Amino acid sequence: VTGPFRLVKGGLIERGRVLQFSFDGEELTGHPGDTLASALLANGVRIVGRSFKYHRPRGIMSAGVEEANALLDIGNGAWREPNTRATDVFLYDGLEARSQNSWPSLGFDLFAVNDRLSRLLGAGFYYKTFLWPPRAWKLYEHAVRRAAGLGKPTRLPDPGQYDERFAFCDVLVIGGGATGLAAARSAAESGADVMLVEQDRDLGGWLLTENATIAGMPSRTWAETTGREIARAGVRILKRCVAFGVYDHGMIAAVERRAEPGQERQDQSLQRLWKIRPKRVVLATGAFERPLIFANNDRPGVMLAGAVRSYLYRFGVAAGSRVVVATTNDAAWKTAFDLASSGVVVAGVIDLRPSPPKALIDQAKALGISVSTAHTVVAARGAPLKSVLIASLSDGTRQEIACDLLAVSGGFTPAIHLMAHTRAPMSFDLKAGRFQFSTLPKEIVLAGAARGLSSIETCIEDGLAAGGGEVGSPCSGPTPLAVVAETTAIWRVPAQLKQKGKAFVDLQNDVTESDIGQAAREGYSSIELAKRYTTLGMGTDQGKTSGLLGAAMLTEEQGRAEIGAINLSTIRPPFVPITMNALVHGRGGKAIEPVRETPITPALQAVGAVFMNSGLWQRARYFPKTGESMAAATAREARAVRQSVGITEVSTLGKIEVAGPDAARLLDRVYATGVKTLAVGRARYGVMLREDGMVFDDGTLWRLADQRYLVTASTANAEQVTRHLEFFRDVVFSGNKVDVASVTEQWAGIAIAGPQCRAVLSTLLTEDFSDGALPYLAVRETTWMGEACRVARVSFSGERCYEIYVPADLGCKLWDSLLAAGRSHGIVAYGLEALETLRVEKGFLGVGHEIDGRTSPFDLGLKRFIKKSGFIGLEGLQRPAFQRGDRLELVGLMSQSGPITEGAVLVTETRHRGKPDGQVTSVAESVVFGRSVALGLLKAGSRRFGQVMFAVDHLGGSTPRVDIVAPTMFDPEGARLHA
Amino acid sequence: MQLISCPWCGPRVETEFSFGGAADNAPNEVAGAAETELKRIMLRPNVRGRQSELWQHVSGCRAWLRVERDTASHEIFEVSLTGTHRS
Repeated sequence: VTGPFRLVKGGLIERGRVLQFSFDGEELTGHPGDTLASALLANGVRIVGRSFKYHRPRGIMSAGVEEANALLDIGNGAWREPNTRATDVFLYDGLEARSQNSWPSLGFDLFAVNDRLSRLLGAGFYYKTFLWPPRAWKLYEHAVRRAAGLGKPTRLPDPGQYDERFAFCDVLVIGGGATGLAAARSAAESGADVMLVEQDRDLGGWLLTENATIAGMPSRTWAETTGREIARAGVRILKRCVAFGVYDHGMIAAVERRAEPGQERQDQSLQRLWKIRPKRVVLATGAFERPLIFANNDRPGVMLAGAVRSYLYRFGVAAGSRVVVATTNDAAWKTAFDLASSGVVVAGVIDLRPSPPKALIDQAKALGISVSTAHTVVAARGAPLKSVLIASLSDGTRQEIACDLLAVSGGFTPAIHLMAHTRAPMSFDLKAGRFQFSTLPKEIVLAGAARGLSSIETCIEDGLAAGGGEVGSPCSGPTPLAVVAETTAIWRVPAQLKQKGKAFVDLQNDVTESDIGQAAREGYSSIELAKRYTTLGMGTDQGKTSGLLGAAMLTEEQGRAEIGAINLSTIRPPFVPITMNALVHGRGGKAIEPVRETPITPALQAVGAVFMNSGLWQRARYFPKTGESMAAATAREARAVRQSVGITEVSTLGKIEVAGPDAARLLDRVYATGVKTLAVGRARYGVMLREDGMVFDDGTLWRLADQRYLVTASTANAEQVTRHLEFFRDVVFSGNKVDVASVTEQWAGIAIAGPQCRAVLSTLLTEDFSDGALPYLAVRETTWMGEACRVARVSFSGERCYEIYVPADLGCKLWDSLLAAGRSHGIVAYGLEALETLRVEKGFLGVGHEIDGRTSPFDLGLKRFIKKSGFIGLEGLQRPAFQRGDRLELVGLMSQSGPITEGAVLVTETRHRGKPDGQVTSVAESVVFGRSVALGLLKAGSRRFGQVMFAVDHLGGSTPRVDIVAPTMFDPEGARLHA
Repeated sequence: MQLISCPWCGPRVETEFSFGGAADNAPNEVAGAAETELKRIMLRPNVRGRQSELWQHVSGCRAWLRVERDTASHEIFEVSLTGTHRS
């Protein structure tokens, strides 16, 4: 027998095997089949943690996912899981558990002083106390955060694996208790494809905690047998799998625990995310028992009556040795009877009803249990519990009863959480004691205890009805929700009987009855506001046992109880806390996004490229020689392009073909720059605007044939530009003869630039590349190695340049051939850094730098390219704000003193106040000017050339003095482009 | 997660699609008067309820689709092809 509170027989535990585990360093034992909670109780551990705010000692209060007290830290190192419900962890050998939120130790907690100071720490104390002075919050925060709160997460990366599955079915049954099993059976018998998910490790739900008989067998045997039968009938059963959310179009998300919290498993995934698309859902999610509200109702030893039975029957554990049962309904009486039959002393049953069913009273008498009707518990004493104070509802007579366990039941709240996720409008009818939905979805139905039924027979019947019906048809109609068979839905001690001491509504967040009263008095009339003010139901238990109680109290405190309906705060997914990694299911690290390699990547690697991310693309940043720094390599590469020749890869540019009789018309509408006058065999600079007039992207347009164009887009915007053109093809120009196709990945592209580039190119291609045959902005379609080859004379560096495109699989060959052909000319490979340097010197625009979504073509000095009418963005550009003359405009910046920083602000004095006049958008260490140059956006910048300003970098502390110049700093006449 | 039935590809999850706004907000082949166009661009109705929308099946056939959808409940009533795909 493991532990002093383990009964000699009974329970669904493997008594033959013993598991070792520890709690706060103490070595304890349990059995397979135990939860951590049942094993702790068996060992007589009563206090398992300190509460969130007042640091009051707390014990286990439930036997399920609703647990609000027993949140423990499980496991070691990177495998550690904080805030884990002891009731939702199955014991394994070597499990290590620790209590949370106590310092220095569970027995002696310094912050327990908060309990004494609680008058200062009522609802909203946080907002009131720490408001003033505003700066002081920084000082308080550290202390406040340390005193309040739960477990600490590990800072190590999660070593566990997670995976994901998709599933489809006709009927999904959520919950494997009596109702769910019945529903799955009738659904399977009707020929449907059925799935059943059960959050527990075993099927049965409440049946596991019952000694009832179904179809001539013990209820737990019935559950097991039915489980086997439906599995044979083809029902897919997922155990230890909790459906945590209902999402759009009926998608159900569930997480299957494939290992227990803290368990170190390398061989398989720890958790599996299921995305299930059922045609129909049966919510057989059962009900949560509600606690009672009285002074010190949070003492270790106060437990839900159903949980006490669960520990007794399922785990063979007596949760106490001398028990008092306090109830508002019939169900908890069974707990008293079962305990007494198992030899546990039952010191009394306290029922607030004046006349509970006579049969119950008779049975109690037969078992020698004293009964007090029309009585209620008014206070608990001792931590852990030593006695309870009860009072007569009629005359107030009080009596103290010694006990170490108080089993409470304030009725049952149907677990309608998943139905609430559908946003079905919902309230709670106080008089009838039931939830009301004004409309319900067609595909989801509540069944059994989840809609207020209580007896096993009616639940099974309800399940059979809910699961049946024609396959593929919607639910046979959500039956009206049944009335909960109770005399009172909500219970708390009447004012005249109240005792001193905190009466908790929300145990996890330490929200008391008086906090709710205070919120009501301070005018928090809406439950949504009162919830946020008091933090009611905002813990990780999401108010499973407290939400309805708190909402009912608020209604009552406001004197609105006679209205009869309680509004509840919005219930959102997830139903239980979910590990973030289960949602990401391992798509972290390298798997976070795909990597796009260009067709030339191998050739770039071969010549020692250092790569960088450019969107998803891997692009060559620079090509260092041995021991060379990035700055040195960049300068060398850029200088080579200016002085002789260099090549760089341009495959990542978006390349989109637009063809058909109406191609020119479509492009003319999309581009703000001229299209119609572009001759066959020529290329042109093109700018696209957004509808509001801001620059969207720039690139080049090539007219390959009369009705065939190729347009290029920036690497960053390639996909958006393709989508934009497809939108015009399908939606705006529907019915016209034009098609759009992205050919970005079909072509490998290399730019060869520099004064000697033509000489190198001529050794490779036999065509005539003289300026007469291929002038600046001309395009040539030719062949290379017997394959198609396109050459365009365009430039992004200000030097003579040819962009050469060949089919993707010839890319590496072209790269190598160009390097070989240029060897005698001292050819270099240059990367993005050098490309940037060359671009900035020349004043060309960069997407994400100057084209930042806030600049118009006028701001960027593109006015001369813009047409007069007929293009997207025209109307936006005509808005008055664009004409005012005080907009930020593109300028060049040349440093007089040291490097300019990207993002630095442009000001007239280093010690400036207020808004700066502009900012630096791109920088380069210029090889031609021998100093730092930059592009920037400056207020009325085009009229300020010649001024001197400061480019202040507040982060780095640099304040270089800069000359404001025209953006085209290098070769403004364009002589080198044409030369 | 919404399921959109692409006429080419069948029911697919919304992550394969990209939203393109209300169909009424799309420009026409030939621009109207500046004032009308500015109104269309800047003053967009934010409909709660049924609306005709444009979605592109970017991770599928890349067709732009017209989707009749409720913006509050996310119910989808009809999905049809646009433009060139119709023929």
